[in-house]
This record gives sequence, structure tokens and C-alpha cells, in this order.
Amino acid sequence: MRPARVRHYAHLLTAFLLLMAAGFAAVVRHNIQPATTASTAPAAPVDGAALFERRCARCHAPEELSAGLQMQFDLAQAQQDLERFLDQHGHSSAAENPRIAAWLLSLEAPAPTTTPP
Amino acid sequence: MKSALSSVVYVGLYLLLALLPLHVAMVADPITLDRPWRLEFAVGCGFIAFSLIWLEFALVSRLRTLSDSFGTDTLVQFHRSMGISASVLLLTHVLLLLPASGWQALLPWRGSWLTQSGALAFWALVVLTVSSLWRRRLRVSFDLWNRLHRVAALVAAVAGTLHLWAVAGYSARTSVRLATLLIVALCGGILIWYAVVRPLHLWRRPWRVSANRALGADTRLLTVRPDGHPGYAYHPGQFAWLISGRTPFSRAQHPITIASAPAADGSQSFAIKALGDWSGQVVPQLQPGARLWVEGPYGALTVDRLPAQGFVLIAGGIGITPMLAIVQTLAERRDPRPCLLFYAANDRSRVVFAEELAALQQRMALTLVYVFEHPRPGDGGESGRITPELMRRYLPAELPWFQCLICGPNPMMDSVEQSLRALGVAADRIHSERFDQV
Repeated sequence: MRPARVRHYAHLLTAFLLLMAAGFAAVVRHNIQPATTASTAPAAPVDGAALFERRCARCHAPEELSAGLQMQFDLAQAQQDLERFLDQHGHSSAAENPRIAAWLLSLEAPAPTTTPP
Repeated sequence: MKSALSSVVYVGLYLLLALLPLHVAMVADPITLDRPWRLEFAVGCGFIAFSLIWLEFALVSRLRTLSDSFGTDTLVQFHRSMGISASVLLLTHVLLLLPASGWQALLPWRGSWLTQSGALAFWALVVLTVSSLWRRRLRVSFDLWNRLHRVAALVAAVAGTLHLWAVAGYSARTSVRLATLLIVALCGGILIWYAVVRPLHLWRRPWRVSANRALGADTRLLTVRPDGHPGYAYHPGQFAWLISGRTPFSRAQHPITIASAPAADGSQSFAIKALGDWSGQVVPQLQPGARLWVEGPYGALTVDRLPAQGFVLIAGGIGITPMLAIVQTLAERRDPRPCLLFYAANDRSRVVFAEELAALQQRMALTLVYVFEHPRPGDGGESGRITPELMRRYLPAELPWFQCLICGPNPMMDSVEQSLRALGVAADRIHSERFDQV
């Protein structure tokens, strides 16, 4: 078989695989239920907002720290990295850092929901 | 028919394995956050790139069943193309995640274990792609490229797997881990068979050089016989890997077409043109009695699997070797079907096996047409290149029922394939095999 023909089939296959990746993204996003209302949201983010206001807001806007957090591949890792940053840089305590980080993460996306069975 | 069916099965299996982790991740779907579409798309690309990288090993592990179905050259070309596809998918994965993670995530010595393994896999794939696409332009020797390719491929596969397993996202689910583990076990198993089991098996089946003579035109005819075993059966036109190092684990492995018809004592001859370090320096030093290993047969360029009323054989330079094996075998079988052989060379001094071919013309229905690109006075034959006009003068009226086989330099094969198509030969009646692809 001519290399050009093999390349042609490989290009078609690559396009198909990219389409599958796009389909995957569409399906998993479709599976997400609408965000829960504010009244059912956990208390920690609200707590985190107050802590952020108290400890960080004098120098930083929330968007400045939260921007792109949801783009992190690993959310748990993103939260850990943010807590480490707060630990080294911020004026908050070790007990307060997880709550601030959780609140910042929640700014980019609605509160966690459950997937349909 | 059987080959076509097995080809369809293998393509289906390839697609199934390429998409398996992605599909299982989609069904398991443990991510409950409404993350941006581009993030999920990046994850999807990452999953597919992971599978493609591992499947690359299976394509070039000399699995005979794959080689018989597709031809080794097609597998190598597909391996090359899908390697580029894996790079595109991985690059998409990285580019979509980079704005959030920052360019520092590309530094393998910084960040968490997750980002380090991902960065390592990314750079290994960059090295693989760049060195393979531009090896000659970068003036990298084949031997260095070969070493680099093996190491970088292994690093890309292992680091990519660690990266995937380190993510506390989709791959945290047992089902996703099992799907990825299946890919690793299957392709890793094939890799271990290729790198360890296969050479160990070959070690117990050595071959000895029985003759090594110069044919002229920088070509030597190396004849080998099995030592303490019966050798193997093959079809004329197939090739074997010659391994001339101290053990079958040696990297000095070269695909050479078998230039002789199957013999009763298992002997095989190989016409080897001096084109590089191994063929130019090592082969002339192989004395009768020297030990080597012959792994074969491989390749689908053979008349035995092609129903036809006759054959058009087109050879360029050292590409005459499979054609010689084919016409020798047809003559020994007293096959009455006609053969038309075009043999292209620079001039008559570059022709090998002229006497053998002349003798075969007396024994079978063989029409031999020499085509010399730069003929010297008295060379005879046709002048110039193999063009549609030249072929039309010799091709029989029964051409639609003939099978056409081509072997030679890549530009010549491209040109002849186009000419045959222009003359109305169906694509599935044109067969070729290419070795020089990197």
C-alpha cells in the first residue's frame, strides 16, 4: 500500500479520534446535573468567603487567585497547591487555608453535584 | 478473503483498544463538577494519546499475523502516522491545560509527581516525533536514532501511564484503572515477547554462512543454511531479518528480501547492496561458517496469495531480488502463467542476476525488459524511465486479470503505481513493499 494512502487513512482516523474526544467532553458535561441552589450549598465556601475577605482581600481580588483553577487537571491537586501557596504566602492560618481554597475553587464552578445513576 | 477479514478484525480491535479507556471513563464518570468543555476535551485527548502510544509497540513488534494481513511496510507507515497522531492529541491535551497550570508544568523537574510524569511523557514524545520526521535533516545516524527511539518510546509510555494513574480524576475509578491496565498488560506483553522471548527462541536456531560472493554493482550474494534445525517455509517475495551480532539481542537487525526459491535443505540467499555501515562493511566480512540468525518470513509481496492469469513484475535496482525469487519459484513449479518483468537500472553495469534471468527465460514464459536510465553504448534495452507509454508497448491485453508487483526505490514505486493506475489497473491489483521509511 502506498504511504500516501496509509497517511490518508491515518489522518481520517485521527480526525475520528479527535471527534471521539469531543464527544466524550460533551457527554460528561451533559451528565452534570444543574447546580444546587444556594440554600443547599455547603457552609464551607461561605465561611471561606469571609476568611478571604479578612485575610486576603486587602491585596488580592478573588478572581485573581481563582482564575483558571477549574482548568487544573486534578482538582484535589489544585486545592493542595493553593493551600501550599497560602501557607507560604498568605496571612491565614493552616486551619483556615483549606476553607479559603475550597471557596476559591467554588467560584469557577457551581457547588459539587451528584451524577445521575 | 481470509486476509481481508482478518484485516477488518485487526482494525476493529485497534479502534476498540484506542477508545477503551475513554469509553470506560465516560461510563464511570466520577467527576461531578461542571468543568469547562475544553478541560474535558483535553482529558479525552489525553486518554486516547495514552492508548495510541502503547499500541505503537504492537504495530512494530514483528507479529507475523499482522504482517501477513497488512504487509510490514504498511504497518511501519501506520506506526509512523499514528505516532504523529498521538503527538497531536498529546499536544492538544497540553495546550488546553497549559493556560491554567502555567508553562512551568512543562518542566519535568518541577511541580508535583503528576505534572513531572506528564512533562516527561510530553518531552519524550517530542523527541520521538522530531527525530523520526527529520532524522536525515538533523544528520542523526540510523543507529543513534534507533537507540533514541527505543528509549524515548519507553519513557513516553511509562511516564504517560504514571501521569494518568496519578490524576485523582477519572482514573481514580477502579474500572478506568483496569481498562488502562489492560492496555498496558497487552501491549507491554507484546513488547516483552518482542524484546526478550523472541530473541531467546532465535538463539536456539542459529544459521551459518555457506557462501558470500560479490555480484557486482556493489552487491553481494549471501547464502545461509540452518544449523541444526530445518529452517522455515516461505513464499517467494517475502523477506527475513538478518541478525549478525553476537546474540539475537543485537541491534544489528536488517530486513532483506530472500532472493532464492525455497530449497530442500532450507538454504536461503540474500542479495545485499552496500548502502550503509552494515551492508557495506559487516556483510563483506561474513566468512563461510560464520554464525548469524535469520528471522522470518515476513511480508505480503508474494504471488502465492494472489489469484491471477499472469504477473507484471517491476523492479528497480536491488528491488530485483524478490522478483528473482518469484520467477525462480514459478519456473521450478513449471507454472505456465506468463510473467512480464521490467528491470530498471542506471545502466547495464548496475544489473545483477543477468545470467540467472536469461536462463529463466528459457525455462518459463518470462518476458524481460531492461530499462536503463543512462544507458551506455551497447547496453541495449529501453532508455529512460518506466513510463505509461513504455509499459503500454509490452503490457498484454489480459492486463486486467494480471497482478502487478513493484519493488524498488520509493520515488520509482510512486511513479510506477501512478502509471499503472493511469493504464487502468485496479488499485487492489498493484502490490509493493517499502523498507526505507525513516
